[in-house]
Amino acid sequence: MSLPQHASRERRPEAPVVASRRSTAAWLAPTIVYVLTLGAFGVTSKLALEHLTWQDLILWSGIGYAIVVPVILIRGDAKIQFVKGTGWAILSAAAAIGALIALYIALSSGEASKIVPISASYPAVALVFSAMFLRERISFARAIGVLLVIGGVIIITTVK
Amino acid sequence: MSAKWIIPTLVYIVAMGGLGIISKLALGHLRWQDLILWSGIGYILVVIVMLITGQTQMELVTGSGWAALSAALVIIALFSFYAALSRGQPGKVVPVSAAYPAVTLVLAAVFLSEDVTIVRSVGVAVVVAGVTLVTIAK
Repeated sequence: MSLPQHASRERRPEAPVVASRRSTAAWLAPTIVYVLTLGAFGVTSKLALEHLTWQDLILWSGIGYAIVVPVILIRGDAKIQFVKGTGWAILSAAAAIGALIALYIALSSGEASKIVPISASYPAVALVFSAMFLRERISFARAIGVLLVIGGVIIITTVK
Repeated sequence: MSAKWIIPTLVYIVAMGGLGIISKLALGHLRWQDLILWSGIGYILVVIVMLITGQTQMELVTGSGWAALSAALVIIALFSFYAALSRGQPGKVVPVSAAYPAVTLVLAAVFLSEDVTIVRSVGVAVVVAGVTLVTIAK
């Protein structure tokens, strides 16, 4: 028995090209937002630090999170609970806050176009840490990546 | 040599490098929303301590707008990154997201009048290429 035409249309799978484009757009849009917002962040922070101290900038981050946290809790996206992994989550928060404070201190005395690219090299450090603490293997290709990062940082810091 | 920025930048790199490992350990048991929640709680506690000790105060002065915008940008960036990772493969998301220093380079030249030379641009490109290789290579 053949299906009615509208039913067969509904059942037809989406063309692979259209599905692929949709799936690309799903991650590409937020990734572009990330690139633009984090790229602009170094410059807006530097502009703020011309008039304020790094403590004032942390205050504004705190105000931002004070708005975000109740929203997360009300929506039920997360809840305050002490379970396995909470200790690591607290340590992650401490590392993230410490990192942001360090970045603000650096930006208050150096050029954003130097500090932001150098600070972006942290995945190379994460790789070394993961080899040291998680016993993950560093492949030849990744070792080349670390060398490129070091080379780029040297160029940015030493050449005018 | 005036290089007060080098030590805090190194602290940032080490802290962020460690953050990747620690977050991975946390995400073995929790969701990313839980990590945002704990970051938020941490910031609120730090801000309360800073307000009590008088290191900062709530006031709207010149620069407050930039500070508020910076806070908004870093929070939006974090959410966008998690959203992208939840929809796409890290092998595609991470290399594209690593390009943000190039945006800083352009904006720093436009808004801060910083010298953005060809050599510095090449340095940024090399760092981005290295970070991409570190992230996507097996």
